Amino acid sequence: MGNKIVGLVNLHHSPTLGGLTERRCLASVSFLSRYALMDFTLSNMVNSDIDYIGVLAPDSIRSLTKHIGAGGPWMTNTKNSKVQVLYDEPHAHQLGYNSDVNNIRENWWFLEESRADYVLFAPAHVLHIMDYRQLLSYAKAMGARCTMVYAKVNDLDDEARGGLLVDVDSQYNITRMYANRGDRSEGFASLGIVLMDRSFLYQVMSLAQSSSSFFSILDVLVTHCQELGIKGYEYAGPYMRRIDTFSHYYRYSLELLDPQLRRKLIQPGWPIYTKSYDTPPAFYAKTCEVRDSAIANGCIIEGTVRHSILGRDVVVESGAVIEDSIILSGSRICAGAQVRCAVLDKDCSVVTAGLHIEGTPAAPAFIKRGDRV
Amino acid sequence: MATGNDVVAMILAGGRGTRLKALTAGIAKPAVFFGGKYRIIDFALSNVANSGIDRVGVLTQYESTVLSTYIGSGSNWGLNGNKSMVSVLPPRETDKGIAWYRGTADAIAQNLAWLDSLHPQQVLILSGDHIYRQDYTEMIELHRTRGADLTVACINVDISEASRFGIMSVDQRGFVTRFDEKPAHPESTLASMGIYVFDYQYLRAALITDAKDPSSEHDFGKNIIPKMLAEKARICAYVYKGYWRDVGTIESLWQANMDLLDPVTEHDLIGCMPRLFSTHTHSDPQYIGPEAEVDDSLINQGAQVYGHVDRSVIFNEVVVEKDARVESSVVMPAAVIRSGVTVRYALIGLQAEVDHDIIGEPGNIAVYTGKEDR
Repeated sequence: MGNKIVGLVNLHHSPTLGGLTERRCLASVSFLSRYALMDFTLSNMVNSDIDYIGVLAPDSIRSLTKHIGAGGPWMTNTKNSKVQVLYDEPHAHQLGYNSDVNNIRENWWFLEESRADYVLFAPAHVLHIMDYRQLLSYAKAMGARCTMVYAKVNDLDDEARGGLLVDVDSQYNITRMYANRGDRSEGFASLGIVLMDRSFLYQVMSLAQSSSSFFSILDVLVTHCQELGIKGYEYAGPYMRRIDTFSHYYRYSLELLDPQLRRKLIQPGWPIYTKSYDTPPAFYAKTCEVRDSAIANGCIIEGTVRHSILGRDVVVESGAVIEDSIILSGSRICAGAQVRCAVLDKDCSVVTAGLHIEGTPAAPAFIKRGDRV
Repeated sequence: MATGNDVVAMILAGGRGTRLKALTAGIAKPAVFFGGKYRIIDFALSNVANSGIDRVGVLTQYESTVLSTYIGSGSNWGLNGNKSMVSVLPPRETDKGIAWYRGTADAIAQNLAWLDSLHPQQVLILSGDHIYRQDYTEMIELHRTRGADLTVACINVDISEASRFGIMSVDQRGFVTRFDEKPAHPESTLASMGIYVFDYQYLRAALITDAKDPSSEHDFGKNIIPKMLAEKARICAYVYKGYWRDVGTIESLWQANMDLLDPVTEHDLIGCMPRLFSTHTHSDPQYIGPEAEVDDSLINQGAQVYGHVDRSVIFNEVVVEKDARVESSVVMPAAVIRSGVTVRYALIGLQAEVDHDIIGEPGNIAVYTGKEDR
């Protein structure tokens, strides 16, 4: 068997992030001023020489197709590579049937066309840095048809809630999978990254069909864990965070202002590719005070920005103050306004002079996309 | 857009840019970095693309490798679509031998076969090293409605500067009556910008005649246009209003970068829509550190600023370390300004590592590329 991997970014088990995912899928939520969350998994695939990438989308394809476009930023060769949104139109509006199993069945042509020997599933909301070729080498060395990546977690009452925990024996076999109910603090949590050979996927698909029309691939793996034979692979990458709640999104965004932590996520030699908007460099006016902040191009900053993240084309007028906040692209903060511990979605305008928008680190304030306050 | 298929743009990008000294060591002047994110030729290429002109030839000669690699398929400017193309046209060996481009007119003359194959009505000739934004549609429309053989874009300059330019006199109808290349005593302030719209058949005949003239320097300003005037050709002047600079010297390159720190100029040149296009650098976000101080500056994605930046233009992947000071300077991609170092009134080249003070002054801008000793 060859070594060709087709990558499937699986959005079917994406959590929601409150208002941020009301009108877009999690994968296209802006992150760290110039990325979308999906860019990290997509870039891992590109950097692992995976040139056929499907994005399994259950819904909200507007933001997804807008970001991915024709796939240009993630394509190595514009003829031989493909980055494709895969959408199950017949089941898109049938709750329960809108599963990754049905999506793959509907888009089977993509796997055929890729001529891949292996299928790699990875989510968009688990930020990780991983060379998937090493996962393949491991799977081959272990003679595994299916390998699942997990990591040790010490605070399961906060992390990976509702996620999947695994038990692993001394031979690295996954012996059991079960949901994290937060009733224990330590354990091994799945990252949702699964590598399987194609015949294994056939087997899973037919098991799903014979079990229940509602079954996802994960449901099959959980139900038939022992008989299928799944190997575990402990994640050893430099960085891993789950963006699975609004407060995790806020906390794990701002902690990346620490340059040393950021260097673990964005490493030299492991570029993170994203869509370019041809925005000009950011402009810092004489009146500005900017400290400890990540700023995207196109911003015009006249006011004060501390410990914050600004997306593209954000305008901070003279006298405005932004602290401990995340401002998404196109928003405008007018003179006299103060924003603390808040997330402002795209194209917001804070126009009321003297308005204070203030949340707490545990419960950041949120302003909806396009709102004028 | 009306201009699309009938017009082919030819961008003259072969100049050496000797007066830019170390900044053009190894690269052609149009490939020199500008404005925090761009190369100079981005202006010409973006103007062409945003004017709806789909087919472009770029005439290269001096150090063309970086330039032709940068231009690639033209995808950065959207010129790789189904009806668009960019061809980089360096001098080449033909059945008549090997010939360098002897002048601006000769560069076009040696590519007449390429132009013939595209069947243009008009040819737009541009310089690849000017900083300005222009939609050429209006100029081409003027050329067509006036039935001109040639339309020259021109700009009003200060009389004290006029002797640096090709100066034109025009009649009441806007037709050119006189053209003097760098006159000692200019009689007008209307300067040619080196932007020409020619009717292709007229251009073709003029270039073939010029190529046979042993006394000609094969230059548009010195030879082609004076001869056309002598022959009473219809030369129309199109007056451009707006920011336009030829950044041929260290001082003018520095000054044009500093001009971007004025919000109005910044908006008109790089902030406005349609966008000024450039390459994708796959950079991190720019980061301004906890003790950094940034005032009155343009900073591109990928830059990491821990020190003091004032009145400066900072490119992608530049690092300004803690306790470093950058004032009134331009720092090109991936240069590193080490802690404790002061850079003032300077142009710092690509990937330069600056571990000692680089201090210039207005009128004597310092240039440091870190490659001086090699």
